[in-house]
Amino acid sequence: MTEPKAPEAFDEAAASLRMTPAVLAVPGVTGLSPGLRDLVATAAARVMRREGGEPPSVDVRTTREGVHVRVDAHLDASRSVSGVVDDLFEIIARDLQDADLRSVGDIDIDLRIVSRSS
Amino acid sequence: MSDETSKETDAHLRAVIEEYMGSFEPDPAESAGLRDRILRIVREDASLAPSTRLTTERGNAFRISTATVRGIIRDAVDSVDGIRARSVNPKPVGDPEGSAVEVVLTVAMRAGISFAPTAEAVRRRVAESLIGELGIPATSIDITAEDVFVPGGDEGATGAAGAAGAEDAAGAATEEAEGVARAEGVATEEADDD
Repeated sequence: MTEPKAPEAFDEAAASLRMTPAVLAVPGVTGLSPGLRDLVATAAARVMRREGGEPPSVDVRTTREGVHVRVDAHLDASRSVSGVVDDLFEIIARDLQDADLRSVGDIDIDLRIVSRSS
Repeated sequence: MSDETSKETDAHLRAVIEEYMGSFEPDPAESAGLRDRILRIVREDASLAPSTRLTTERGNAFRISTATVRGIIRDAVDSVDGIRARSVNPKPVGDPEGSAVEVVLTVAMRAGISFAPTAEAVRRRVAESLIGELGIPATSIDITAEDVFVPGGDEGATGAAGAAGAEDAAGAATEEAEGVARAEGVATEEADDD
């Protein structure tokens, strides 16, 4: 029987690094919008007049309940929104399953379509 | 209305800010009121775009900016000759929630066109667009003609005040629109039955 891993054992940054290009490669996705962490980092940089602003990425964080993935995506009009959404869910779920997610907990995917250009 | 503000709760935002602040040690002189200032900026940014919660046929829930949904519907309405979209209100419905949408529209129509067949064309276009562009079906599409316009005139000015020389045409179209508004109830009920 597999021992449950502590949430800290899941590498959020590595998961984000893996998922970001995979998400951007989904046909119909043209870019990512800043998620909450990016917004906070940018706001902090503004307040402190520092350099800031990593390129927007898939936001991955772990809690006791499981892994939360937030994607704020811009789409083009080449496909139906639902088709892109289903692909994104599949890619994210597959990535997390490859990372042995059963030991980390539930998957919560918060996907927001910010814009869709024609 | 279907709008769901994208504003995150302050508690959640504060948690993200705390996490971020834990990743570096700011100069104490800089950090006075820092969290509140960051919270204010992020809250403003995060609340800019209302979103609509929908669910794909496979059961994947997502949010999409309401402006995007409105844009898809508006383009479909405007593609029908003689009709211009005014207010566009999509509302997520269905089981699971958001697996379909109800649409309530108000439109301006060109003077002299027959509303009933045009309204059916609008319903068809909107339903096709919602399936084709969003992948989400419409359960009902209610259309109310709230104004008429005369080609070449100022659109929207004729219904209430009447443009010079166009009052007769506008008046006739208004009567027709009112007549069709009564028929609209029937058409809407039919659409609801679909």
